[in-house]
Amino acid sequence: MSLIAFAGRRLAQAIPVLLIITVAAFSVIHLVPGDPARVMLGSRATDEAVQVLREQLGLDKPLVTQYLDFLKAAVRLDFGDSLFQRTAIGPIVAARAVHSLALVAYAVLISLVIAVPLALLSAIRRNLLADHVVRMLTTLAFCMPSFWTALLLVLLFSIRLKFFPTSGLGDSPLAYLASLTLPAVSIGLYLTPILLRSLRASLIQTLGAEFVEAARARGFGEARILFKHVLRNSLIAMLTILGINVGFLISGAVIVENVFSIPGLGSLMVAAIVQRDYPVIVALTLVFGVVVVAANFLVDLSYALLNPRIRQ
Amino acid sequence: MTARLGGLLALAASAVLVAAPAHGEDATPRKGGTLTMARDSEPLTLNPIGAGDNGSIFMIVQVFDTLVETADAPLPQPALATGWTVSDDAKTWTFALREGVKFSNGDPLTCDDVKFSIDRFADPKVNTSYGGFGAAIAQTECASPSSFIIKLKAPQGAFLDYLSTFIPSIVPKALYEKMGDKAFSEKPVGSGPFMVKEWVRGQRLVLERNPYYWKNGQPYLDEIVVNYTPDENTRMLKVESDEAQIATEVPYAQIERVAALDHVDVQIENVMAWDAVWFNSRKAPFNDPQVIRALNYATPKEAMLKTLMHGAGDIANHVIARVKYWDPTVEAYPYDLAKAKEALAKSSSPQGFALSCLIVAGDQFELQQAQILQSEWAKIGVTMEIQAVDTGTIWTRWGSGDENCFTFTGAGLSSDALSDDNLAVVFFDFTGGIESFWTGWNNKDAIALVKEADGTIDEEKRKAAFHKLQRLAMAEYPAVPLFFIKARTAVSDKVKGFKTLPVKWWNLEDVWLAP
Repeated sequence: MSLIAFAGRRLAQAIPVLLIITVAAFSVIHLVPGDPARVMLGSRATDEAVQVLREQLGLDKPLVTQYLDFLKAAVRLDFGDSLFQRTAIGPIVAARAVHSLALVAYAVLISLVIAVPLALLSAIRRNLLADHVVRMLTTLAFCMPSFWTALLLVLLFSIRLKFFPTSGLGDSPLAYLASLTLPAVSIGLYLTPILLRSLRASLIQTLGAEFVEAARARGFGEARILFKHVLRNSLIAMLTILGINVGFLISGAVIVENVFSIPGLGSLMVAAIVQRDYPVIVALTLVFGVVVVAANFLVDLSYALLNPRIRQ
Repeated sequence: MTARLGGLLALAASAVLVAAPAHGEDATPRKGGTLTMARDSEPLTLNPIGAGDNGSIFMIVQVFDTLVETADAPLPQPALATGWTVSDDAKTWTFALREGVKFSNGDPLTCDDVKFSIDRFADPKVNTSYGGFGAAIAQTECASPSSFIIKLKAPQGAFLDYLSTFIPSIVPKALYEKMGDKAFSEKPVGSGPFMVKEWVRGQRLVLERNPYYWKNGQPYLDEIVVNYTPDENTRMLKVESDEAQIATEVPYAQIERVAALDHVDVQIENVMAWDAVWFNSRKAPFNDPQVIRALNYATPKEAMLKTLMHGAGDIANHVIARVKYWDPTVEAYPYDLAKAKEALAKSSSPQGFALSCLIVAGDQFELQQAQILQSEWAKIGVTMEIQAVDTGTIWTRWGSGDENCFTFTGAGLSSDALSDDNLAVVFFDFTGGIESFWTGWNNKDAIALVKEADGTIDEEKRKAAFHKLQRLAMAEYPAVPLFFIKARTAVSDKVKGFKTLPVKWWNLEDVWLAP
């Protein structure tokens, strides 16, 4: 099967999942006990205001019609207005999604740059000094709570050395990248040990495989064996873990977003839940669902690239 | 001034803590420069009607003008109105409008704009969140281009105070009607000292000088960048690194540290905010004033003030904030376990009782405060269970009338108006809409006093009614008042003329930057 056909089939398989996600997101508003419009506006709202909102949200229509309207609107990224920000949700979510995606992509890049070479070193020098040092340092990094790591990074690199701004987002592309660096490092430090451990374990397993012995016997250079055969065959487990974490980090980087004042999706979700801003919660439930599906799709695709047998 | 610093004298570091008014008032203001602020909250809308959160309100007042304005004074001051007269029956108010005022887009501000804005304020269908503030207005009229008349249904004691809030801000009629609610909320035009240059939700609001502003030579600043910085540590680091010159809401535990920095001071100022524990008087034993008294005597406010708030507050001698008619002679409950036990013995629950109390989850300060109350109240046989829930849930549950006890963050409750009326209706008037802040306190004398004060503009009568109300509330109201909260703002040396008003916002047209 060609790669494109494989991608097409995987995409088709994602459709039922996406539909289930839309049903779940749609239900959020209807799982509210009592009259959703009344709950959203609070106990002090007038009856007229509640009626206006009920019509605005289409709550007076049959459930199926409401769902179909919701689907149609969701495709156009039209989620209605936020109850608290009093403006359309689509643009707010889109603007924040850009920052969240940029932040997580940057963090993934940083952790791959650190994890892959260190995992290789650790696997080759298994149970030697280098391996112990790497494992100890990564355990340490993993144990540090991210708000604390983040503050330490700010104290050192922003206050003392003045390399990066303490928080906020820069305007120019370079300033933007600079302002995302410390937050990305904070997340990267959390992600690196997870990736490193899984990659190290698979590398060790693969290094002991027969085909590696066979390659050595044929006289291939160690570098070629390591990069072309061992690494390639060991990446799959790490990519699976990466996929799961990316989905989680897009929605779950709340603490890092807060510490660095980055308007991302995670902090929007927390604010929406605290304020009972149901339309925003619905929109974000849908977006997070799509992000997880998309991340898994990309992981599947990378399996197929790394190991053509999976396409069968 | 000494009163402001009263609670702080105990601190060794008090020498570096600066009280308002801000330093450098003696020097001549200098024009120009950009002020960067790190704020704990962000605006949700910039429309004067529809805003209800401090994030929005404090920015709206920079962009708009009102007929009378809140300044550093107990009474509203002339603004777009240069003066006013009131008829003998206190029902007709005639305002002389300032001549030559322009909106920030250059259009003249006319009496039609004033009438349009005040009519919106008075219409409960438009002004849904603060309908009570404008409810007394019966009719408005432009007698001439420079004379605006407001007729009231009945005399209203707090009328001018309500006019000085952000809600009756004057908006340009023609432009507003052309843009509509939504577009105007995003890119508003007013006649205030600053205009909106850029607003990136979740990040920053950039204000720039309104070239047509009517106050001579003001504003001094070219631009104000207000960064939304929700994390308190990050806010402090922003002023520390000089990325911002002002950071709001200094955490109590960091007051001394931030004040000790070379280029930063912490301004601690009185505002109309307070903290208390509220009980549901529909439920036994909280319907018994002896029980409430016992809990009040068993609360070590002085120790809490010192350890938790590092002195930056005052012990409350009122159930609501310290507003205009506050009576300093009323005594706060001292910490006295003997008296607490005595009161409890006389009550309907002499053996003590158990209660559960709702607090805001994730707020370390609230949790510590609740834990102190828990251990202290246990000494008189009251066992308290602490239930931490999120802000949305806390209001839903407390509003349901089924809970025992509730406390909200001190930063969360404050008065929007300069006189006591607004808080009095909400907290003491059972018929006022939310059943005395949902405590269910239904006291005929209190309701009568609230109405008496509201129905007259005679300062002495109003003062007497509110003083009586304060004594009554301290004796009977189902609450343990804790502290009058103070604004704590980290301000760089370069910033001059910065002052937190009692309503908690700032007139930023007075602020300038030293070279």
